[in-house]
Amino acid sequence: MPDKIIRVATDVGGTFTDLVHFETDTRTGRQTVRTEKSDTTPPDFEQGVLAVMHKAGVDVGAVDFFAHGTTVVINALTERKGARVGLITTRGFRDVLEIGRGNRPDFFNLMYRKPEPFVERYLRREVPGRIDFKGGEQVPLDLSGLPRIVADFQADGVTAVAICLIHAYANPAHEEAVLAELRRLWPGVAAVASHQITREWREYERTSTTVLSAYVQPAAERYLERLERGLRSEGYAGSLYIMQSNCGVDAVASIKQTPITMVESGPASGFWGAAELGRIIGEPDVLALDIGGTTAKCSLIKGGHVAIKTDYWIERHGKSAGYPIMVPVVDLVEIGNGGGSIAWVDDFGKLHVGPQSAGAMPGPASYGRGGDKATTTDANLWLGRINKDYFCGGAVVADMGALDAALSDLAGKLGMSNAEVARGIVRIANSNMVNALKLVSVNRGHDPRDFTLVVFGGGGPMHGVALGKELGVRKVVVPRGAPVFSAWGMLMSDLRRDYFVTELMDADNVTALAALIDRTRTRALADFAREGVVADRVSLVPFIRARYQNQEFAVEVRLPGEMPDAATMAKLIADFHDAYEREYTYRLDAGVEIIGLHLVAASEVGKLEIVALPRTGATLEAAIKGRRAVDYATEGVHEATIYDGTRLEPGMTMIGPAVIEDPGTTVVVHPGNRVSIDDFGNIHIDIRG
Amino acid sequence: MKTADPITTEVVRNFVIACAQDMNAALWRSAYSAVIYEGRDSAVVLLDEKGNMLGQSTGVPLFVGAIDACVKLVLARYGTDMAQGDIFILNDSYLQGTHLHDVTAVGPLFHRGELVGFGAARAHWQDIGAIDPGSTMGSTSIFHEGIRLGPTRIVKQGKPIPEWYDLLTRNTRLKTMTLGDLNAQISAIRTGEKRLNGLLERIGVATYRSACANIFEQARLLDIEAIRQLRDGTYYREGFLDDDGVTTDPVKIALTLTIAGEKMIIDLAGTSGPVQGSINCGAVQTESLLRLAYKTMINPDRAITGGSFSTMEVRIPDSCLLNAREPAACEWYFTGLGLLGDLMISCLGEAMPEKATAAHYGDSMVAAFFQMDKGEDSWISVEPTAGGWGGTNGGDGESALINLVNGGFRNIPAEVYETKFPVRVEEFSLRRDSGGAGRWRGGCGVTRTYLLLEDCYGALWFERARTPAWGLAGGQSGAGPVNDIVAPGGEVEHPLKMRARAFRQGTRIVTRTGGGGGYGDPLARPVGEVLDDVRAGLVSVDKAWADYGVRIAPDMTVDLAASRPRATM
Repeated sequence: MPDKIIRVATDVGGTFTDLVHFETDTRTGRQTVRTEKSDTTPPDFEQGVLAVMHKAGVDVGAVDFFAHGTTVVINALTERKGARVGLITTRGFRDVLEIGRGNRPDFFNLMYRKPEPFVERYLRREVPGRIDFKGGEQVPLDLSGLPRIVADFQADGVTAVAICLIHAYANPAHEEAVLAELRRLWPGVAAVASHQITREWREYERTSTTVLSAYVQPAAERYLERLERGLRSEGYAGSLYIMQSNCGVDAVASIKQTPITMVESGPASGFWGAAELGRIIGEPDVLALDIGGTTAKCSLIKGGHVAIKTDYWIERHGKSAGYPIMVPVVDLVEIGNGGGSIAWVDDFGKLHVGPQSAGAMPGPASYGRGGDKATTTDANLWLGRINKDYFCGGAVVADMGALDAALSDLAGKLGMSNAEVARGIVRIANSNMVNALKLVSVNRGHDPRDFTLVVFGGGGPMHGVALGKELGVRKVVVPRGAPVFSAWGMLMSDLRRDYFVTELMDADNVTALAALIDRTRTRALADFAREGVVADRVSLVPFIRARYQNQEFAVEVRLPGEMPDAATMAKLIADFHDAYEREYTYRLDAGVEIIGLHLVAASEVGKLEIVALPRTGATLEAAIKGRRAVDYATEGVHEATIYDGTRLEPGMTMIGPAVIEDPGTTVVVHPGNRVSIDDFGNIHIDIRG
Repeated sequence: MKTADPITTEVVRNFVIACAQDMNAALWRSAYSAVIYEGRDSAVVLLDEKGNMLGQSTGVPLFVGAIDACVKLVLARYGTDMAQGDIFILNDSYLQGTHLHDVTAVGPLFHRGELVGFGAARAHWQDIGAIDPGSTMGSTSIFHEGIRLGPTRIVKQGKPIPEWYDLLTRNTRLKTMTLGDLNAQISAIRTGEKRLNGLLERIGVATYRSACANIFEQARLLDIEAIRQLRDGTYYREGFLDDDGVTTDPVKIALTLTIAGEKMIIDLAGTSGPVQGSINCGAVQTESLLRLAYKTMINPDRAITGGSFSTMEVRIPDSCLLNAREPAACEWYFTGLGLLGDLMISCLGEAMPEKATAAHYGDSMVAAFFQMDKGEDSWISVEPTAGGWGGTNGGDGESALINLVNGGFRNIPAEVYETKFPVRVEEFSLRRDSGGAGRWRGGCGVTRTYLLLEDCYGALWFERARTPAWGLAGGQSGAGPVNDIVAPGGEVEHPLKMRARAFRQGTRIVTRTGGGGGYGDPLARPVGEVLDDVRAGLVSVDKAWADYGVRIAPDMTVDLAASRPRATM
């Protein structure tokens, strides 16, 4: 047994590349942690990853487990820097991608533009052949036109091919045949067929998913290869695990086939980290909130279970229908409110916050980089919630003149003082975030009072208590490592794949359900075997997606047991009615039908178990930096005690008003809050007083 | 009274919109009918205790201004005789303006025993006991169209009144579905009540009311300011519907818009009187549609509240198909509304030329198939179809987009459709040469082809062949709709409006919706853009020559010498 195990996670974000380095002494069990940040380096993101490791002094050759999350996929999509894609689809359906669902989310806009298709019409080609929804062949596949299509694609500079045929989720035979023939005609071309990514129905959503995956495939492949090469050249011999959007990691080889699964890898690992944290501290019901520079994201964790869904869209908002990506993504709500969100007054004298963000350049006005617009961070600074003498962990000198000017501009328009405006910004930002948190809790039948609010990201700890109070949660927890919590969460992730399969059947058809589960289990085990994971190390948890007959929306219920029988089915149906009522407020005396399966396959691959921190006997007094006036917006101005977060230890307790300052974040503790530091260094804030 | 500061007003404004969205989400997630959960044929509103609208979320903008009227009707009938947990419904076409399928549920919202507002949810019920299953095609009287309810209490203090539930279920062919949809509407109202109470616990009723008053006043002033900036004058437009679905007489829609200072008057004098077919529409819905058209041009990004539209006056003659009275049939009430909206937008376009757009394809373009002779396995499919929108000064019209009144309506995926109905969708594509030619081309309509896999019934309701989407500033009209019915034996016919008819298995129904009007002279469209359209298959080689004067050779190159001279290349 080696005397130490080293686990490293790196997370490439929009501005910074974060690193978390955990070294576990196998004899004493003692863990030492290092975190580091360095600049993200587009377009060669792998350079930033290697740089942050050098900066942190990581001995790459000694690392046992390496996990990696990246924005490379979402960046390629949002910046439109992907492949030139050709689409092959079923005769009669090449315009599915452009027609979309035909809706106009911006009702009153006569000039509404649909999201531009990622494939131009002349590169969308059709082949005859038709499968029905039961998987039967209605019209045989005719590949005689494929050579012509390939020749045209080559002439038109296509660099990746997407294949999506009608009802291929039920039977992929035609897609497989097209893919095989394509590979024969055009060896080496980047290509993906819809069934490789998803086995769910809805042709527009599936076509969009396939096209977007093809779009990012060459770039993602190139990136992953370079990263792998870079790590290998520095002596890393282990497996490279890539964070996916489903809160699990996967081996690099399978990610290369369907890179689109990385689309939300950063937020996913943060929410997974929150669930793992909940498990460690005995809080299985968690509302998790991640506030970054431009957005806030939240997710609900019930009974330690992170919800994974396939209803994910990019660029969807009030002005655009957006693009669907039908891959397993942690169920999250995202709003355009982060630390850098700009406050502005519309031409009717109303104050708004976001969704425009000052970004990293010029950044908030107080960064002194030429930004002249007040942001949420600026408001927090003005109110004394952020320490102007310890801005960004002391790395930036706060430009209070620029901040004054930016706030005065708004104050003039609103006829208010700067302090009133700053309080207004904080209140509006909080109100936006509370609405988002309600979307994932109240709206889905959960009472926030039963939950613990876990806040992370640079801005989470600043707003956590105010939001928690409004929601009525029991307590707020700021995890250790909150500013780099996404990377932190990766170290606790399993090798995981989520299999979503659409297949309609009556709820009493145990045989058909057993066959579906069996088939999907076999597929999952074969996939894991390819990564060298043997069957008995894979946990397989089937969730059944069911609905009342003729209804559209299904709820997901865990099958009690591995395979169905009469008894488990009865329990399943009872659970279905309960789950349905929780989500939709009523139950019906109506038939239940199963629309498919969600099988979660997971295996532990070197996951980290956090151990308690040692206590050195340091005193709380030693952590006190001083006192200052802090404006708590709706709760007035109070003289708060300021603590150095790096000097807090397990067992310490304090009572608000207080502010805990950490190099990466600031924890705002309201008057009367009781704070305690747990064995693992997490900050617990009891807000019920 | 406590007054709300600007920040609190803003928090309340965010709240009422978020609350309405949550209510609608609850409705969509729990509704039984595809027309609601996929088609989004629904609307929910949060109102104050007098029935003034605060926040709304509609799946279809058609209903933007119609729900508050329903709440006021409930208030007028029941006054203070309402309690927490009560639910009222109504669907009378002459009161709420639309067809009897649209059932509006209204619930008073209480906070600590005090009436603080209303929640309302309207949804399209698939079957309300008319002479035909689903949507009737040939009704000539309201008494053909199903059960008709004025404001009626059906739930008292949280307890359903069994007699009314019994009456409702006896008057529909789809009992489970109907109750499911009603439950979904009630669920939406309960969601609103919970959310509103949460807010009031924190800020109190007085502050809330003060914030609401601020919101109303801001909307009112904003509208006045916008109208004041329009070019004063009187603008007139008219157009013709193809027919009323029963007779073949054209039906005229006429609109006169007068703008004088901060006042806007819309007069529909000159519009045809009541018609025999079922395209009559109640005044409340006519006005709602005019509000929608108004909103596309005036302050489109502002939320609609009880303070909006205060400067708009609508005059509809008593004897008019857009002011339906008993016993006029109203099933297809929305048929003329697309044209009415286009006419209103066209008038407004003259008053504010910088925002003018060419007309859109105009109507819902409904294809319906059903088989009701199979007991439990009976089925009905009704779907509107997307089409082309008008070009604008600076952009081509959008293609394959749902019509003005239907907004959030999403088409049903073929892969879902085919699991529900024995019909195969063989094609769903953009329709070549349907967009009106112009410097900025009109958007394309679509072709949607159905192959019937069993004997069943079918019906069609397509419009705007007589007055297709017109062009603007020298742009041409878009193509009107064209349908083919191809019998198994090969015989072809081309009906646009077709009452329910029996079809044999193997019949193919090809529906084609119209395109949008073009904007500006087609000869000013750069050759490169014409070539791109031909390459993409949106414009044929023949049309490139006939409409744009561009000669394109079979190898997809432009023959400039043979093309007509033009300003821009």
